[in-house]
Amino acid sequence: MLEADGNQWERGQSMKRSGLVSVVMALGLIACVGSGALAQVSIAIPIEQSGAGAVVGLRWIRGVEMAVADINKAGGILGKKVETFTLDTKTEPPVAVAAVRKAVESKPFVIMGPIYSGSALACMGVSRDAGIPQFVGSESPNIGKQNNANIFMTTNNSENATSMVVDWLTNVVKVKKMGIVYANNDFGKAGRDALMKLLQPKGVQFVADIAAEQGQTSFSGEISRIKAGAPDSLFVYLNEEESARALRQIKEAGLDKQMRLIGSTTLMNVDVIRLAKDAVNGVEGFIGETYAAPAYKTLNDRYVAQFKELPDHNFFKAYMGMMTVKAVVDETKSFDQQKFRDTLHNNTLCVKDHPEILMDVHYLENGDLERPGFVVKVVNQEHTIVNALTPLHPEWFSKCK
Amino acid sequence: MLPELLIKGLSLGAIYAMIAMGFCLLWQTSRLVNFAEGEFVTIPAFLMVMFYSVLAVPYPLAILFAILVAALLLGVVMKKTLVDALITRGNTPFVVTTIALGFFVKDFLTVFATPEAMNFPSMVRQTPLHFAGAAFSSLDLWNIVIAAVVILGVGFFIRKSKPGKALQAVAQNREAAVIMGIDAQKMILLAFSINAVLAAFSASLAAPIYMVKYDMGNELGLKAFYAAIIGGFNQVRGALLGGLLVGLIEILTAAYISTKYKSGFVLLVLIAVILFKPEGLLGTKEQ
Repeated sequence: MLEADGNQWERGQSMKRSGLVSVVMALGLIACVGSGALAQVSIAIPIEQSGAGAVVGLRWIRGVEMAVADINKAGGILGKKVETFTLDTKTEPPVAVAAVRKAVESKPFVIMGPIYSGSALACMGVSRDAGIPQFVGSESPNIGKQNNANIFMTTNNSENATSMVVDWLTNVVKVKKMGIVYANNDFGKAGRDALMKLLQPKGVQFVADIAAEQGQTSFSGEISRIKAGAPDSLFVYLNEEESARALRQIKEAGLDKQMRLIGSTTLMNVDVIRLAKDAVNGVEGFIGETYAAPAYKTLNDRYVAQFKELPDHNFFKAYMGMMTVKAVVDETKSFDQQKFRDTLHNNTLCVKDHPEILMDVHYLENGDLERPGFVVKVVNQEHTIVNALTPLHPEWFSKCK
Repeated sequence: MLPELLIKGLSLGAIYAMIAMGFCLLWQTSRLVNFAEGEFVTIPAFLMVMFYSVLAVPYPLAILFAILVAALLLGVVMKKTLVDALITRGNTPFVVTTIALGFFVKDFLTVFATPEAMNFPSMVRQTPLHFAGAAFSSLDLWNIVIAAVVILGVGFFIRKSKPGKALQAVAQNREAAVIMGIDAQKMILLAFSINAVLAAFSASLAAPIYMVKYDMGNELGLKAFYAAIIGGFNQVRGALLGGLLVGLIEILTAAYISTKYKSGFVLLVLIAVILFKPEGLLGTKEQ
């Protein structure tokens, strides 16, 4: 028998508490603003606190708040204490727009969130109009394609991520016939398109190209189609819960013994591992941020000690995003938001200059970033690094050596 | 591939059929359609996790307690509150109220339990099985067997037991049944309680495969509703046929046509049934 989960229930209580704390903090912030006590830097976190994205939202909040605690402990940014307040986007784009609209009224220095691509795309115009830089946790390349100079990613977009693993897929995995099952949403379609665009010119044949719905429960039909196509590798590009369900049913059908199971970030997420248990063993693919990487070890240990669970990539993204804010302000020595944007665009931040950012990072003109990533394999329900991947443009990182 | 798909389709359809039976029972006895039926599956699933994982109650007892609490909450309490208050006003206020109830349950579980998906173990070990070239899971077989036992058991109870016969009498002609001395209110209570137990059994089968989550009832409730319409809202055996058909259509469409249209094909069948046999495939015309 599988083991059941009990700590999710307890984490639910923790989410409720964190929601209440956020309300209290928001009220506190409003009180401070009202009383003219502006010696702080305010950070707005419009984020998924309920709905489908509640779990990733919680980890994002933890990432920003742990970074803020570290910053404040070290004396703040340019001597100013950092304060945060959260707003719930309910994982719905229209609510995300309203949340960001509400956030800009408080005139924060930056906005950290949301994560879901649909929400980010919907609300990014609001922060641009207000002139407040916005960091999002999304992975869709469509965000960068909007050419919104105000938006900044916190991880490699899915197109970059796929580009980084193309060599591994063609030379190491030696994929010839690939099947793909992808989420029929902005995230899934972008990943699927990028994969096909990059692999088809290399002679990879896509023998099964299957869209799955968000919240889908049964994958029996999809599995039959995959079987019929007989690929040597199956790329699973689904959100976390659907990934877990699909993996369990794939294992049940014995497909894991017939083909390599490959994915990108979500497929190896800690929640997928928790839900799919041994069905996730053997899965491999690209992940931008993993607790198994030496660069993240100290932060991982702190997270585990504090929250009694492993952190996912959203936590690391949020932490590094917040630390990037500090690094840029430290460089510009000012809270001028235009200067902030100009400095971060087409710029590389190095760990040797800013140890708090954990990994070297380069920001492009459109807000996309490049950062080293990893190929991991799940062994005994844990990440094992197979390969450390260099960014697509190593020349941008030459100053970090 | 076909035998494998048939087993998968029947396994999925068996879950739909049990929930659809609940729709039919309630309609027959009370002329009400419960649009919170999906959440009636979610609630016992959460109760099972609460008893088993949070309160560390032994597995069989956790399921039993969940079924009992579900019967009390979704049967007795539901009847004594919303049903008694709304039954005289007809179906529409009840439909609107149960839609609202469904949203309330989801929000309540999200805020006071968890928005995360949770694992719940199955009663049988999940092992791959092979038969006549078909590969399937022990869970598929288990679902079909349990659903068959529960459906046959409920059918036997309705046909052979005294309360079951009274339930049938109310379903066929409530006024005549009341004149004959049958307490129609008690029969409605019985129908809601059976519905709750069916939903709880469905939850115990669905949870290990699809995981326990606040919105797990969305798809299950909707598909069971389609199944009840396709099979015939006024016949329990119609719900059985409808459930199995919906499961099979979904799986076969996904495998042979396109995964994108699997829900669409179910809806096409639904529309065809409404157009050409509005009482459902096994349903009878109502006056």
